[in-house]
Amino acid sequence: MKKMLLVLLSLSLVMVLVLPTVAETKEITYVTLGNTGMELLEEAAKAFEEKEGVKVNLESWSYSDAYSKILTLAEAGNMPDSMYGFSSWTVQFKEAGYTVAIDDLISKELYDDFSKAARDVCSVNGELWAMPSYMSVRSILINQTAFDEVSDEPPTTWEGLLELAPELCGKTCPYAYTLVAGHPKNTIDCFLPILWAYGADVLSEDQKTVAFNTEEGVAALQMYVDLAKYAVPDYGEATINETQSNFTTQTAAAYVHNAQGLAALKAAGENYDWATILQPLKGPGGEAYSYGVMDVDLVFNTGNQDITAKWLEFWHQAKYQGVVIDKAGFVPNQASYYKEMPIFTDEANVFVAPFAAMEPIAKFKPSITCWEEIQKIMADNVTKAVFGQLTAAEAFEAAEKDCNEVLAAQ
Amino acid sequence: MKRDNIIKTTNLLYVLPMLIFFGVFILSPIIQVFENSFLQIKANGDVEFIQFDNYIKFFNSKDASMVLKNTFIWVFVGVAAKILIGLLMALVLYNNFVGKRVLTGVMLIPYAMPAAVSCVVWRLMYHPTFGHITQLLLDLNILERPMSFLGNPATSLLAVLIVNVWAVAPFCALNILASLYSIPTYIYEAASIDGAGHLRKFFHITIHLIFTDVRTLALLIGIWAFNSFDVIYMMTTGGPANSSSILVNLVYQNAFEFNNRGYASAISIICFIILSIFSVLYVRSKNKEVSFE
Repeated sequence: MKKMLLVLLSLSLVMVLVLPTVAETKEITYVTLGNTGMELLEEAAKAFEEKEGVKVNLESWSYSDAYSKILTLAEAGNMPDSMYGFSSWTVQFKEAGYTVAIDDLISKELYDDFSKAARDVCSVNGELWAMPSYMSVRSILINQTAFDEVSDEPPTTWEGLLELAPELCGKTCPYAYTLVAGHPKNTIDCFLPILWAYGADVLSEDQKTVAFNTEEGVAALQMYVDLAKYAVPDYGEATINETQSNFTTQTAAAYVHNAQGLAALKAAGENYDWATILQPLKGPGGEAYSYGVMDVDLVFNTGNQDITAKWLEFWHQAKYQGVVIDKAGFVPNQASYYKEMPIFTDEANVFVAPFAAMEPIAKFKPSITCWEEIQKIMADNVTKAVFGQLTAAEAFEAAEKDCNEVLAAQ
Repeated sequence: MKRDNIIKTTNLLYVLPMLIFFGVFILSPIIQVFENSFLQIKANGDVEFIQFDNYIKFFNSKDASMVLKNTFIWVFVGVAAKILIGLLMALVLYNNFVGKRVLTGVMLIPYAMPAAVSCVVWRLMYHPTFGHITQLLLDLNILERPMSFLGNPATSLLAVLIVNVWAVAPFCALNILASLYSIPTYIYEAASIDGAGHLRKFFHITIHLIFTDVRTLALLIGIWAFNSFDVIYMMTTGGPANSSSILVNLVYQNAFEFNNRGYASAISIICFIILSIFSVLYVRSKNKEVSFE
């Protein structure tokens, strides 16, 4: 009896020690945001499990609370193995020790497959700290019918757009422009293309101070404030979807975004011939940038990074992620997607081709530890200028002081 | 003597689980927050003791005065409006009339409705291009052009406050109604015999006798309002430019959006001190009895 008990106890001990180790390597968790590509993610996860014998638990979080959720989990050391997120998180998560560099974890083929712009955005000191995921290149979209009513040629500069704005209002579209400014991120997404076109930037080269409070920066803010006068009056509360619908319902004649709105019209079987995608508008110095938004896949320091990187490499194939990119109206950032999916190189494909051609002139938001705070300070002061609480110069002076204090504290 | 000690020890053992629970889940986090309020926790995990810098930063920040003012309006103006509207509703329902039960049910809808649903409904009503409120104001020529009530720093707090008052006033009405029913009718009868009119009875009997209950109710909904985060977060997230932020929104923003745990802790301690005053007043008000004799 005693021997029997001893054997049972030993077996239990072995199971307690060995089973979790086995379980840990058999399952990984991947978090995505929203529902974009969920069906294909599930399909890829199933195929990955069949191939590698590792189950990928998929979780979908909402965009709005993803940042706070991951910070809370990371603080408690309970991160998922990998997560889809924003490139502006890369440096912060690296500094905090939450994520790992992935250069050595992925194959050279995949590394070389990413476009240089995509690799640059995800690199910190020459190391790849995030895997480039969905990329959106934004430019200005106009309602051609509305613009034909007021001008022979579409505008090529922000000043040109502002000149036409009063005439545009109340004809084909009730308003000339639509801005999205409900969340600081969206305010800045709308403002940065103008700031960059005017030759100003958010941060200095060493990223220790802000650089927007210059003559050019203030002029850019004044342009934004002036445009807001002719914009749909939901400024300050509109979500990105509402802004998109302001354009697709022909409430506003112009807006800066990607082709997602047009793709939605196509999916609904509606006409979108009236829309034209223009080259990014220029500033007074002739500078123009498309606005790049890079989303990334982060690999967390959970001990499962090898198999997690393998999963991401498996997911980053044309037949899985490539299909999602096509459906959602993003711009591919892997050369293999262009090779394997002719739709991306088809010039008739207005959802991708014009934006893909603008990738070389795309500029991306900086990735710094305190970006969320800097973004909020800038957005608050931009909003105060729009509502006339501060002049453009006062707004940027106040923002500069507060932002530099935040940067100095890092 | 020995037996007394045994009883005392046994009694202590009975409350021990509660004491442990209190210590682990309430006292310990409070101490932790208090400790964090003197620290700066950097992104790379470095922790620096910065004395009262987080508190000084708060009181020196431009947003602090606005957020404190917003909190004051949100709590005091909000409570006054809720009590006043609740009182009017209760006085209407105190009378007997046809459809009283239906009206009571309808009146409770805002309170019973989940905050997320009411926020979506109100967001749509406030919408500048297709909202009912904007359209009504345009039709009445009060507005010249559509206006974003939630997106304008001048109106965002008021717009959100209206939603909160709309949701909580029925709760106040129910409580006040219960107080009204508790007043013995013979007091009114005696007053009528003495020649008192409706207004006189209202101010000298009704208000006087429901005052203690209303005061307790006001303190309670004041504490709730101080801590309420959902309506503001769902409707404006405290924006634009913090124009509708109250202290708890600032705590959330700094703790979870900016990862400034030390600064957020300092604001939490300020909230804690203010709420402690409310709590003391609440407990004291509960101790004061009212007599109908």
